[in-house]
Amino acid sequence: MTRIVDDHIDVGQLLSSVVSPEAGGVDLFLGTTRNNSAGKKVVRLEYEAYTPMALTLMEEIESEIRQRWQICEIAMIHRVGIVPITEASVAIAVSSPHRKEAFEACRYAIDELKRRVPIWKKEVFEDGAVWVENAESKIKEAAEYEGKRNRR
Amino acid sequence: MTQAKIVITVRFFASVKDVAKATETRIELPVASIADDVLAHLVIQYPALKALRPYIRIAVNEAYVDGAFVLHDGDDVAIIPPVSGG
Repeated sequence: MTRIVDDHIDVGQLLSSVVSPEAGGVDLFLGTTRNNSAGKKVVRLEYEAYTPMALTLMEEIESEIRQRWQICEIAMIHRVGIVPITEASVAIAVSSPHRKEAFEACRYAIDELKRRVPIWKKEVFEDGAVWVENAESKIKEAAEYEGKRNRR
Repeated sequence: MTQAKIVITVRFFASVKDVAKATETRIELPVASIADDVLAHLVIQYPALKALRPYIRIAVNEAYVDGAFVLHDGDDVAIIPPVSGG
């Protein structure tokens, strides 16, 4: 399950969606909004997404995970719009027969989401605002990934 | 005889949207233009994009492409500044 929502992420519902009788463990990652950035006080965060492409890439990450690890279920939700401090902006849950796969798959999901999924975060300070750039998204090795996507 | 043209839609997000002061525009390019030509066109229109250009990625019809990707009439081109989801 992959979703983009504009309100609170329902973590209970997320966890319910990965319940499986085959699972021996569930790994949950929550990305939460911090009240500071590089020593400055953050008042709030605002997220925007290129929603159809973001969902497509989240599904692509899910299918890569299913090829690489033996997991039962995976669910990814990203929130957009204003996200107040301390609330979750992203939530990922993975169930698998054994814990190792769930931990590794969950880590891969958040790392790849931050690298390639077209979602942006604006940090709003008391005296201005800045669009954040994830360090991993600026690496030019993206070319290798882009190359294989070219369809025409 | 006039040279054949294509018309594409260009979408802007985050920092690029702030520079362009728009969420999308339509531009006309010569037939067989490539993705990099869109950036070249935009940098002329919005000089402030020059600083962002090395880190901009391009998506055509919702998939990342490289700069040499050949565009077609009606393509939906998204200008993707470094992402910051999570």
